Amino acid sequence: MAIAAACAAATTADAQGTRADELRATRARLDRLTARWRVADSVLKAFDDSVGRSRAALDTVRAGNLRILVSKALRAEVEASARRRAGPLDTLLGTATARLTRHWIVVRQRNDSTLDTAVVAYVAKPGKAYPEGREIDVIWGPVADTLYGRGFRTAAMHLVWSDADNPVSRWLNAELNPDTTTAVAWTTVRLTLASDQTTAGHKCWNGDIDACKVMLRLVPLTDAPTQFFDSAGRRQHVERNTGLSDEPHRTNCLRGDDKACRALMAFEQWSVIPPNLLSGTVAQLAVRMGGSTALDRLIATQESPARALAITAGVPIDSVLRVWVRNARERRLPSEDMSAGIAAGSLMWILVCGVLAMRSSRWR
Amino acid sequence: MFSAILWSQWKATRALVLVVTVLVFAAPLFSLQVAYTAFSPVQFVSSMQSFGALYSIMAAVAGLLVALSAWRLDHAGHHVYALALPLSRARYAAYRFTAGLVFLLPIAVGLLIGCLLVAISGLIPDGLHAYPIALTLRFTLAALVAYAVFFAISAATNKTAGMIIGVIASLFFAQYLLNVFAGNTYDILEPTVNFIFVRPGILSVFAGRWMLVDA
Repeated sequence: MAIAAACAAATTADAQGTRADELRATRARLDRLTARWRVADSVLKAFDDSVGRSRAALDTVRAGNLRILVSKALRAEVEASARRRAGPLDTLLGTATARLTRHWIVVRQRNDSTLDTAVVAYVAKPGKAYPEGREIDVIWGPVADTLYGRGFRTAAMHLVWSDADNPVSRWLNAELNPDTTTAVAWTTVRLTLASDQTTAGHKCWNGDIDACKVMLRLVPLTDAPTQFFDSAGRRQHVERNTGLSDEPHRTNCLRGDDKACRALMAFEQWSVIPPNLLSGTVAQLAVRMGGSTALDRLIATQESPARALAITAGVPIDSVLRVWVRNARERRLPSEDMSAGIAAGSLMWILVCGVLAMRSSRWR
Repeated sequence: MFSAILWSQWKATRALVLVVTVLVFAAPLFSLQVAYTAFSPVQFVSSMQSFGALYSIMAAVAGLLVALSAWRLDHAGHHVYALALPLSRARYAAYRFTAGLVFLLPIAVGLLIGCLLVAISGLIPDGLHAYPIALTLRFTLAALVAYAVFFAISAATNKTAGMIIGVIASLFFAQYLLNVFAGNTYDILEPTVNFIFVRPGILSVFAGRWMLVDA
């Protein structure tokens, strides 16, 4: 008895000793990582500081609403390129391009290569750590007009959208590309909706606007299992997801007890709510519907996402979603199976081979 | 004269054409049967896509078989029949070539019927589209290209065929030498393959996606 008690005490003491060792090792590791982070952060800050100071040596170019800091050697071509791009940017961003006058784009010559290369960056909003604003690289490569064009466009979209700090920007959870939605993007929407396993997804695909609002999180999610599924859908969902493992509830649910299905799904919310991947296309559509001032309205509003989209498009949200569903159903990519190029190329080769066969010298 | 050649060539080719037509007709139906078990449109498209290579292979095989059978009797008879005819060699080859083109039509029609049956089956998930005519047109063009290439090679002298094989072998040998003496710095095979398979390369019609059902 005494030996057993001594063994138990020794085991407990041993376990406590092991835990203390682990704690010490973790603390030591944390200290090492903190020291490394401090070194890295100071190097980064020193770099950013040097970059900030070097801006004083750059030339300034203004083209439309674009304000550009540029290396002296690149000034002429960057200015010419910016003047060409200012008009198309106004068309793309509408009145929101005026916001660009508050920001800087930087084009620097790079010296670390044998090629003539340049980097296009934008100066992000100043923060506590970076009072002069950090330079965020957008694109770099051999000096060329196309490099500047792509760089200005991307930087302008970043800068304009960086002014958006509102519910709709948090709802989007990504930067908005205000350009027209491509057929590829509509195809993605179509496949996502048509393949969605929730009842709301199917209803939305069939034109139920309220279901689309649930799918797009344009209404608050108060009870996901009932908002996303009807009773048959809930049972199917539990049947499909063997990971929902609360056995008595699962068995009862599969027997037709909807209350058990709801209880199980409410407990396992993560498996119920599909990811919201389609919000960008709705916002793009609203911007396109709303005309040249739409993007500006979207950035400025502090309304809820549904209301913000309606304000942006200038029509009720239901109308925006009706167009969205219609586009998802109807806009499609042309078949890659056949094109005039394929036909012309093939016919040319058939003709060439036919002529070669006739000119063969086999009998000569 | 053309009808006589057409008839004689048909007798030599019809069995092959019949077999290939049945296979080509069945391919879309088989792909539908496999894809139908998919539980989402994305999976359905993915399953259909896996059959894309099958269509291009069948087009190549159809062209090859019809081209070889076009010259089979002539090769077997050492071209005595052709030489006995009051025809120039070019005109005779043109008749043979045209007759072969005609024999590819039943195969294309077989594929079109199979594809149309899939399209009207009602088993394609909502949100997806069938492209029976586009796929049939591409198959037909690919089969015609394969036919024309193999017909030309078959019509050529043994010396020409040898030269073609020699060029291909030389390319591989040159790549081997480059690998041995210059390391892996130079790749001449990839540009060559791109030249052939990327439009307007001779076999570019075979490359890319062949989709009966797509998003």
